[in-house]
Amino acid sequence: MRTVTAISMPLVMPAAADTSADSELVARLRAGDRHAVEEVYLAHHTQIRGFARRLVGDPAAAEDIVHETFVALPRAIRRFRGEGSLRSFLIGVAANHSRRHIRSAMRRRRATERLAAHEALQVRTVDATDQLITRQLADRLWAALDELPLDQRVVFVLCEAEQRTSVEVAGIVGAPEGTVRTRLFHAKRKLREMLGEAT
Amino acid sequence: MNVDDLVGALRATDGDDAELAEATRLRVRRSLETRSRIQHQLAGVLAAAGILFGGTVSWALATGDISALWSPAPQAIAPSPVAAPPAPPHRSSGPASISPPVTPPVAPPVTPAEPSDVPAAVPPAPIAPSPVAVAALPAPAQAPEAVPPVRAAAPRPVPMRPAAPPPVEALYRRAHELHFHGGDPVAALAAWDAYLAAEPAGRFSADARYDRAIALVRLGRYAEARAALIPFAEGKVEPAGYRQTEAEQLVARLAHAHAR
Repeated sequence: MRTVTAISMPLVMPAAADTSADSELVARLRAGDRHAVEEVYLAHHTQIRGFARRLVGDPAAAEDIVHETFVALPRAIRRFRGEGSLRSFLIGVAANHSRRHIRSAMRRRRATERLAAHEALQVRTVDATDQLITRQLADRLWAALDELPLDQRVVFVLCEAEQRTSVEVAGIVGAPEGTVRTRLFHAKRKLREMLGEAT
Repeated sequence: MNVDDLVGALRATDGDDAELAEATRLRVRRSLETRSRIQHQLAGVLAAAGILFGGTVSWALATGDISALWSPAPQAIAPSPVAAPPAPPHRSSGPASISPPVTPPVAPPVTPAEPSDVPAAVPPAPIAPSPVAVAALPAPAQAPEAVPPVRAAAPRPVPMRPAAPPPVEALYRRAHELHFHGGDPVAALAAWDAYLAAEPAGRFSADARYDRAIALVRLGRYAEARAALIPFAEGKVEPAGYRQTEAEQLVARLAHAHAR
């Protein structure tokens, strides 16, 4: 049975180069400036969206995560200590809001498997075929990720898909670095088992 | 199938949709505006509720009727034929007044101990016995008709009474009964003294001191009555301004009477 455990909010952030640029925005966010939220959105939405898409594998669910992340930001910013970058903090907030979206994306993915197979038969061009293969491979990985606990899934996406260091990921998920490495180890082992069985 | 190959595919699927990003930005803005509006509305409702509560409590504290807020309504509405409302009936015209003003059916003017030089110089007020007492005072010779009915003003809500009044309230009720219906100023004065001794700063204390002064007037003890009324005339009795106008007029008249 698949279990999903909670991801604690990031408490300690690694140092980042753009913290000085963030500090003014953070101060405005804490003062309740709604325009600051928009500025943060324009500055960071691409990275948050990319993480959300890699995490859930569904564009609509990813947009919902991005929306909730920035709507929650005025309150969540109270927990931001300024020890890391604002972007890392936002990714942590997004990961915290991703639980139910992962579930809904998983249900949607299973429901559309048949439709995806039908679409695959319609592909004729090389580029389209290449995209289709890429998509199918990614779908296979997301299907395997659906079987992982949420904390292992988040760590795997951050470390492997986004190629972040374990220190940075530890700051994002609010867990010790050793815990991050352990989660990544177990996630990879399970994925290898699942994908090895599937192929 | 290698996991690394799948991860590469995962990275390759990453694409940014500008229209989608703009739509999400607008959605975020709308959500924040809606949340802000709801918070403002909630704050307004809470502020109004706080003002209403504070005003109610202030009114209750100022009038001394805070216990009336917590009294069960049916007990307050049901009139008791024996236990008349202890508050002076002619003062009950406030918002909490439920019992009608009780006018004694036969309220003979109480004659002061000292014979009056100018009896009935002012016609007695029709609603309360106290103006009768005032009317029985020796009036100034210059303008005897200038005396208004002293105790007809200053509406004040009558506190609702619980079924079993505490002892101090019973003392007040007895003094009230003797004062307005007993026809015996000596007994009324003693009853007021008893109540004030038991509760010198209670909810009816101002009423009791005023009525005690009236009892002194009825007994012809003008100097004492005047001394008792001066704090009222000077507005030093809580609540501020309580029966001040009437007390000023009485003090002026008592000064004349005492001088004569």
